[in-house]
Amino acid sequence: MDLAKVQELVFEVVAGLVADWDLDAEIGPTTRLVADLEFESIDIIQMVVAFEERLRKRNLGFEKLLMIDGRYVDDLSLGQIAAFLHQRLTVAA
Amino acid sequence: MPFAELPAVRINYLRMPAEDEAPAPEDVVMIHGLATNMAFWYGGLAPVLTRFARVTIYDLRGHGHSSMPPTGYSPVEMAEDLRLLLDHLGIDSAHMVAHSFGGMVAVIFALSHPERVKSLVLADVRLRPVQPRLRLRQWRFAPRWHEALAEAGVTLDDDHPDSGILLLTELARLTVERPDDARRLNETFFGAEARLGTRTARRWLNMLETTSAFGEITGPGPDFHRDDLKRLTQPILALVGEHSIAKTSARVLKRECANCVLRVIPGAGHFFPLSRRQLFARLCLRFYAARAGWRPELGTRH
Repeated sequence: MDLAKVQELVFEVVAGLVADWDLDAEIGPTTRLVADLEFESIDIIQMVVAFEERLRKRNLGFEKLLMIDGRYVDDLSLGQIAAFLHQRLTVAA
Repeated sequence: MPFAELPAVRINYLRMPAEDEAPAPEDVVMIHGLATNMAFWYGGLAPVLTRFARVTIYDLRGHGHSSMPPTGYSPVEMAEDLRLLLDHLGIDSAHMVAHSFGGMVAVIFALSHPERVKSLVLADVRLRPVQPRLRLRQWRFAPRWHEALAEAGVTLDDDHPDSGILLLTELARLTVERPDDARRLNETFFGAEARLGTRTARRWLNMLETTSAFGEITGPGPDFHRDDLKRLTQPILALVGEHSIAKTSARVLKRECANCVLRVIPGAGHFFPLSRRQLFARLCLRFYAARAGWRPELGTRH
């Protein structure tokens, strides 16, 4: 799957999650999970599970993106998530 | 995410498969504390354990994405939710990991269904029958808290027998009304990783306002007696923060349970599973290898 398609998938999944949250934020590569979409940690789990279901792959290794030196990163953009997913899918292919 | 439709509640859960599912891996079930949800484990111990085990995390009733029935919040009823969830998932027995109030649920479950609990990791668990009152006034950091809360305009009855829950509730209220003040307080006392999210805070307040949770969580008890702890013969790892108010419970566990190891986490408070993730994971893995008849490959991939 090329990067554009992965990005599209990320936007679609995230848009689905926040559909009824009453937010004004645009969904795009620079949109940030916490600052723009008010994500909490349980929402991140939902997002990862949704990716796993859509891609029919488990253990995508998201902790490598979410955790640095044993701590949660403060925020992530949808572009970063798409790039990470694309890289994981490329390695796994 | 999947739900288990139990008779009185819908429980949100996540099963995280073991990296190697053959032969049949051990099951680990993780139980979070009050005013949080399954995410408490997701970024910490849970993914570490999936290298060796199948891990189930779930939201207690009224928390996370589980439903919020009007009643049924005593630890005894939540232990029954756990039994029904395990039945639903076909898990006959499992290693249990629990933090804070989740530890009450785990201990009651282990006393009622000993054959279903292979081991217990109890992280900073206050056992109510052992410590029926938790007055923050008696805590050595109380004066510092008072000062910081007063600066934020919050008054707390720190002589209330459940002042820990009152504090959690005040922090939740502050998170909703004045998130910057709440963030500052949380980070000062619990560390950045233990902060409440706005929606989680709202849900906690909503649960206290619209259900019988407060009364059922805080009383009337006792749910078991201190002597009952002798019946816990499984390997137990009792972990407690050096600065935690739950130390009395951990010491009693060590005294009453023949197979209990007690470890004090230096310099830590109540939330060390978040603030000291790596140490917490290491201690759990060592415990499993040494005491629980389960030998994860220490040092190879962790």
